Amino acid sequence: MFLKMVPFCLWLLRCRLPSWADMSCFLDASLEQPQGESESGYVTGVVPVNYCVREMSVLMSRIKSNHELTRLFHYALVLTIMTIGLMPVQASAQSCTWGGTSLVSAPDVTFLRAKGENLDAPTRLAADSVGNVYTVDPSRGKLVKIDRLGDMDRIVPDLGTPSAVAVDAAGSIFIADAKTGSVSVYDSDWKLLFQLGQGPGEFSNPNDIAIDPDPTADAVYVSDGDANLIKVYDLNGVPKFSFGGFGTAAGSFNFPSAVHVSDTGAVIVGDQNNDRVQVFDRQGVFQHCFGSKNGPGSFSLRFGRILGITTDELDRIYVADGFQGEIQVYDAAGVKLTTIGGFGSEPGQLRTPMGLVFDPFNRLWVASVNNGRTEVFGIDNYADPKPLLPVVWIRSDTYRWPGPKGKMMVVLRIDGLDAKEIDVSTVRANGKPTIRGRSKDWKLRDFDRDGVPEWRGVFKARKVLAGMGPGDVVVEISGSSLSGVPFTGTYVVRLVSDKPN
Amino acid sequence: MMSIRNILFTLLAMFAVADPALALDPPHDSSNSIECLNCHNLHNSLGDALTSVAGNANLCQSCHVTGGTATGKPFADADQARPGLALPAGMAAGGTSHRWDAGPQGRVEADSANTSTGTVVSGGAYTGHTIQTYTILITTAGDTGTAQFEWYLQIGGSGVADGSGTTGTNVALGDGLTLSFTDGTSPSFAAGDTWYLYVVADLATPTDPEMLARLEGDGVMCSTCHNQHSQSKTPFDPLAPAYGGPGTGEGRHDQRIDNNTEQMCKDCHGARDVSVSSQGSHPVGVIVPTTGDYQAPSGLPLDAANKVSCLTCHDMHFNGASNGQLLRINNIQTMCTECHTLASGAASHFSTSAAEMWPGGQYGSSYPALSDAGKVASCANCHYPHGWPDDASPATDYSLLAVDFEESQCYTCHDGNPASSDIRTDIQKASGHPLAANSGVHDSAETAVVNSATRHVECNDCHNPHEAESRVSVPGASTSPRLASSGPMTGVQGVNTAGNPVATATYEYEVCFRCHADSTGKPAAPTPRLYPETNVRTEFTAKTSYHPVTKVGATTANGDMPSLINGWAANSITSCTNCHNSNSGPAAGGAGPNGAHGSTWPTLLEKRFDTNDPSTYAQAKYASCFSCHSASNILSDDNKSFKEHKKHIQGEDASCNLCHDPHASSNDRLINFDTSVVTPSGGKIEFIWGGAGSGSCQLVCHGKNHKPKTY
Repeated sequence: MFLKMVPFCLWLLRCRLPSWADMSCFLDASLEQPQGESESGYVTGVVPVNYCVREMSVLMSRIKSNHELTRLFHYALVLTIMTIGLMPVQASAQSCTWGGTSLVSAPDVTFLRAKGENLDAPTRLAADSVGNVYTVDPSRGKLVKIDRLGDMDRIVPDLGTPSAVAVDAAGSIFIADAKTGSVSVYDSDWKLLFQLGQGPGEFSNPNDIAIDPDPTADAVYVSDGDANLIKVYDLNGVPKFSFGGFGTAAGSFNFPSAVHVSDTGAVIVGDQNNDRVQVFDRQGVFQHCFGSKNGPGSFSLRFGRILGITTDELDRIYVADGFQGEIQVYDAAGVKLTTIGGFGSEPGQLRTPMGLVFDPFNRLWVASVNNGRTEVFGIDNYADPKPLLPVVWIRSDTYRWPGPKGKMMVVLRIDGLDAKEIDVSTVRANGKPTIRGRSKDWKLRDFDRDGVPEWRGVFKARKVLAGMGPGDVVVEISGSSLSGVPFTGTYVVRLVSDKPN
Repeated sequence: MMSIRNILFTLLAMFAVADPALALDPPHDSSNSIECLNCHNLHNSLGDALTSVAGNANLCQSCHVTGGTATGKPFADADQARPGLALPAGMAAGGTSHRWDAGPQGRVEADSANTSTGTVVSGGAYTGHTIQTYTILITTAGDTGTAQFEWYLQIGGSGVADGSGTTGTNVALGDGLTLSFTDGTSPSFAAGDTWYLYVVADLATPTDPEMLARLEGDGVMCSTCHNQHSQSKTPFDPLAPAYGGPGTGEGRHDQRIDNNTEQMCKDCHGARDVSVSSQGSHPVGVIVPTTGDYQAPSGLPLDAANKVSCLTCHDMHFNGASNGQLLRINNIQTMCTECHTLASGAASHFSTSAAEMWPGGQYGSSYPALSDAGKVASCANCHYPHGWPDDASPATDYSLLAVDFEESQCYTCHDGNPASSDIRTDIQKASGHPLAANSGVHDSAETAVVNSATRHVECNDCHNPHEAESRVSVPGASTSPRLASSGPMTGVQGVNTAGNPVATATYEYEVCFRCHADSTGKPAAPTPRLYPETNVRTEFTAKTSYHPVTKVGATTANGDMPSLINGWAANSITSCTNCHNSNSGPAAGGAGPNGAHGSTWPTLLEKRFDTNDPSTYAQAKYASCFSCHSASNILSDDNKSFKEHKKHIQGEDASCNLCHDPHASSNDRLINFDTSVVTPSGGKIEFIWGGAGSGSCQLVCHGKNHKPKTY
């Protein structure tokens, strides 16, 4: 900047106006110079350095010899220094951290499955405390809710253009609408409770919602991309404050595209067009940033297009890079640990990954907009609740009617689940507990000698079959696993009136 | 002081102070805070043009997504067009956008239930003539080289496999297409797994060098049609702002090449342009006529030269209909009638309550059954705007953008299913209008009178499908001629009683006069007559006695027509179809269609009319006459018109036809003797009518000489 000011200053000082040759010293080498001889007889074009130095010293001596000019020159110099000095300190992109080594271990990643039922172009996800996952599909104006087993719970249609979703600890669902610029809050019956701020028009482009996991903080953060702000409200929709603004300085944004609040209260913002991630405290005070647009290293170490951010229980930061089709994992300080997924359409691959959320079972759900589905990855020690299918048989299978008597032995096993994972205290036959209602009524042994142990429980036939028969009747065996996943199995027994007792 | 060098230096200094900007046009420029490095990478880039990953669309979609920088214009892969005509059962049509992953080689999608780890891609260039889906089914599991597959065509498929092969590289499917199978983890392909290859007809690789240089996998990508850096090329959009130089032009659609008259579309979809293509297609690059059955469209845009172009009917992105056809107006009927005024509101084919949907071609056409309820009563049931291959010569299309040929088109519905009328059975009876005798002869621009060189009959000669209405009334006694200006014969040309052509026939007989009156090359009359005449127009307008078709009879005094019954009177008017009609139609007490389509009785008569002579009398033999003329009256001993009727008919086994001409005669009382039976007496055959109940005949018949005999 200062160098570029010099010819201007010289012109002001009405020195001998530089020839083409002089100008070549100060101007960008890429600007074309006319070839040929200058007035002073020098060949123009590429000018050797020592010539520049000589010309410069000639000019400087001329200035020094003229007192008036010297004073003007001093004024110009002071002005220039003041201009430079008063310019705000730009914590430019270069000042964010990048690279380094981390003491935090990278997560163990297990690809579980791809889920695409009823989804066309899903963008964002949320999960509640019991493990239901909510996915919004703005191209079809709907929200798809599945339970922790992955079974369809419901589809909520006619939601306009839902661009973001979040669920608070009380189970209220926050949904942003890109067309109306609003965030609406619904209860679990999908009754509209309220909208944030003034409702429609509160935001220019609400593209992410993050709820502070600490309920006492009473805060929800909304990323407003076109306003370049993170806007903060309490959980009743009353505005608290906002921070950001357009720019490249620390705390300024060029299109924030994602926001997330970690368990430790770090507010993490994806600053998309500045190609960096910024970390703030709950009050919006800048802490640190990582990433750089003009930084060193190959592109695969940088962000292509930050579209989503989340954190795990170890405060590692997961960044969805919608351009490179991968989830990048960083430690809390911003040192890269690993990547998950990759660009493509096969199961486990991503195309325009945008929404990211962890469910209570430590499974990472990724909304992949242009694969039209979500990918599910298990992180570290994850649980993967699946529907359980018990195998049941009952002895004896024939009872007297009316008035069945005697004991009913129920043998139970669940394929794919360790027998010790079954919470036998929850097992009921037709709703009735075992003979003494205690876990001791169950024995674990390989009763059918097939190498896999089963549980055998003792029930009172009179209680289980009360009011049923004659003929074939169904006995329903229900219970749940130690992790709370329910199961139900059935077996048919016969009630006959001529069975001798 | 103001030398060139001074000025230039000042300018250069000012220039050097400011940061120069690159000449990008909005919206992908600094006005939206977009810099080069937001999309480009100076080193170690993995994609072409210094982008990070392969996938041109992927780059665009990272901002063109709801919630992204371009949230107002999202493009999700699920938005791409999937038109419904060739989709397998159970798949829904959809899509609001031209595809950005398509090319002449088509695209392959795996069924969501597949467990195979191998992949399938298509190659080559589809040369088929219709949109098509190939269903590819693995029949034997294994890796490439071992696994076997079959394929099934959706349009024109037989229901059994249309081909089979071994998995491998560039396996030929026919029609210019190939499949390449790539292994995953062994065994790569599971038996029963399915892939779908979707292809669209008439696609070519673009020739424009700007577009050709930007293909991805032999197909288009976003940057093939769009130039993300520049707005200088002119779009089709008539509302787009003008280009004012670098840095301007927001809203001009970032075209790669000009698209305002020489359509960008034509470079790939060239076969659609009738000015360069030999295949049939809706005309593109033509001016809409303003006369005849056309009008200038009010809801569709024409191009800058006021011609119909691809974008007149189609819409590239954010299409409102979301059915994959990318049509500007969702309702086909509303769209076609913007320019075509053929349709009449009262016509059955356009009645949403009366009309059926095309049930799928049955007489050769492969045009599949329509299932979209929005197409009922629309042009799409009989016409396909881009032409449908002629089953008999698949390299050409059926004419007039129809989906089947001549009578087969009508038979598809009018064979009793789904239309309630079974015209086809009638036509194919022993005496029917010979629709099958000619093909390719009927011309919609032909003259009203059909002459010998081009003598033919097709459905369209008597019926206008765009104006035909249903009619409840059957022919019967009337006081005026049966109309053609309402009912199934509405809107057809005819020949009037003066012999002049009329653009729209008013009367039914005017249509019949096209071929049975002044035409040359008519077949010979079935009976040789004393006064021969084969021109029915002359018969019914210029003869002495005539059945009253065009006008009331020669005698209107009831006393002179004592045999009339069943509501007929001496001043009644009859019609061609009163006698010439289906033998199983409603007037005959049957369930068949009304009309002169065909009959089991000779000369297309509704009822029996035996002409052989001698023939033992039975009333049923002359049922045609006895509909209107009482048999008991004629055969009574006291018949007031000719008391010798009983003697001749019952006594001498004579037929009505022997003496009477059922149409007309130069003589009175329709007397026009059959000269193969009746011979001259004393050098002549003569009948003189003497008024009611009297006259004389001079002839020889059945060996009996009437020298003359009088009554």
